[in-house]
Amino acid sequence: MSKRETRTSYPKWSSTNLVDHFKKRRAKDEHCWRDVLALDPSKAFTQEDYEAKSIQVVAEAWLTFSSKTWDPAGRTHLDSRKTNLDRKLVKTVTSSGGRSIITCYHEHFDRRHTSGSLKRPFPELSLKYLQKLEFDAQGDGVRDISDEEVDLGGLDKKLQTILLARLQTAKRESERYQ
Amino acid sequence: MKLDIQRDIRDFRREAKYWASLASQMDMNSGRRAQRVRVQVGDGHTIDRGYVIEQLLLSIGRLLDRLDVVATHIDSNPKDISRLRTQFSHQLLRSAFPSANFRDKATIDGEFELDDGFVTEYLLASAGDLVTQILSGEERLAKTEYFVETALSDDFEKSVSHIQELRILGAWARLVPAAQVGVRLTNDHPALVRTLALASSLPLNVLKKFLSSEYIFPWSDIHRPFFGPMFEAAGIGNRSWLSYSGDQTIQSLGGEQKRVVQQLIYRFVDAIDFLGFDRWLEGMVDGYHMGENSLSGMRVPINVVPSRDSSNMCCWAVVAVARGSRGRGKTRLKSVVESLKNHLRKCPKTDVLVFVSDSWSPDAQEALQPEIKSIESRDGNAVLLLVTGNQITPIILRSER
Repeated sequence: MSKRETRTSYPKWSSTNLVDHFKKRRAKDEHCWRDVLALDPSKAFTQEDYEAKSIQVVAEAWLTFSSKTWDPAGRTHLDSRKTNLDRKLVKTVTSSGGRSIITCYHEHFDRRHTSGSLKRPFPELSLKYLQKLEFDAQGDGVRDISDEEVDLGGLDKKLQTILLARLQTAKRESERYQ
Repeated sequence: MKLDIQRDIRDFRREAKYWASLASQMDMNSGRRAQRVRVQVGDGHTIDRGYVIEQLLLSIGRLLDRLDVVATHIDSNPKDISRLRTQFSHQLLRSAFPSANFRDKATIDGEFELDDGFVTEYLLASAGDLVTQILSGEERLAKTEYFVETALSDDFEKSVSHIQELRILGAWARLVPAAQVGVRLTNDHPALVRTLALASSLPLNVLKKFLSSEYIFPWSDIHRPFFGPMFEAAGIGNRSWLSYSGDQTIQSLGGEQKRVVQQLIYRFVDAIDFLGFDRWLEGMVDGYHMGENSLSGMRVPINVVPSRDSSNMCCWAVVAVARGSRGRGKTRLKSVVESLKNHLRKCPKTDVLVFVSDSWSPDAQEALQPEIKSIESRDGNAVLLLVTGNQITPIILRSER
């Protein structure tokens, strides 16, 4: 597990995938994205906003890891992908090599978005996310967590140790079904 | 499977100690707005006291879970484990609430029992004012909103993480009313939960929807203690629209698997009573059938026909579910009989067949003769559960010799 290094290149969307995902986000949770981007009510939520945020998440991610996620529709685990999370839990998923963006969304823990969730302190959000990751791994929803990179700068050392231990627990759980 | 119990125990204990140390830093007597007390956890990062307490309880719970694993898998003296549980939890709680006056309680047969409910009890007995403050005002409202959001959410996904969250939610559900009415918890948790204002503060339909979610079963060991009184309040789980009079038939079953088959059938009767036949059937066709909280309640997998589960594994038991005797839909009796025959051809060593249907026919009985005979020859069981109107009747399927 290494601390994140500054990147020199960032992943890109394919044009069709970007259009599809932007349309989906606008139709499904525009209010969430308006919160995430702190958009003024008079401004429209645009594809450019969405694209820029998805890349910014990769640039500012506090957590990056590769894993295979369970796909309920296909009833199988997807090929390994890379997850990048920013400190508000906006998530950009890229191909395993990290070159192309597959999707980008705000993590609501399978519930409706609430404006308050963006105001929760980072220590709480990071703990909650790692807890979910551990439970998902326990239930075989996530397999083979690897290539973790973590940046917990600003948190006190003891809390950092706890968060890293939780990530390691999730990783061990994710190897349970190999 | 890479399970490192020692490391887990070390990690979880370290984590619990961390939360306990944060809790102890917080002023326990700072008045009505005490729930706003926050603690610094880094440069510009703070978290509130309610969250710290929640994490403390959780990490103690995780620690005790791992001790249970040790107790189950390692040949150890139960008293040692029990002492260890007590020691860990006491130390942690004492360090979290230095001014609290702890008393040893809940001694059962000379051994000390401590579960997350008991931790709650401890907290309330020793630091009731603190918990009251935490759970008053905003914090309580936030928890209630959580119920509402969960209940209203269309994409309430069924995953292990939700089951875990519900356990946590359950712990809160017990705390809220106790703090609300300002009483100290006794062993009568349900009575306190009953005082939970949820039934009145949440619209009844929301409460019902929340509780009827297929992962909150009134018979589940996890949910029953937490949600029992709420099932009652919402008027579900107690109703008995189903008339069941099959005890004698079920008791007369023979065979090696007798006890498990009886268990399976009683579970199905409970589930159909609670969910209604249609929802139960949909759950069976859709679901994954292993684990104490699954519809089958079995710790080992079973096959279901028809099922969306595409796995090819042959299990010890198959449950066939059918609705309606006419037409060609995949849950129609005739189609299910055909699918079942295919399944049993593929899995000839199946020992148990439970056929649950709202109709039956001589054709179905006739078609399944070879399969029933084969099950009988292995000392297995074939049972039909016939659900007609509000009547559920078990019938033992026998071969015509």
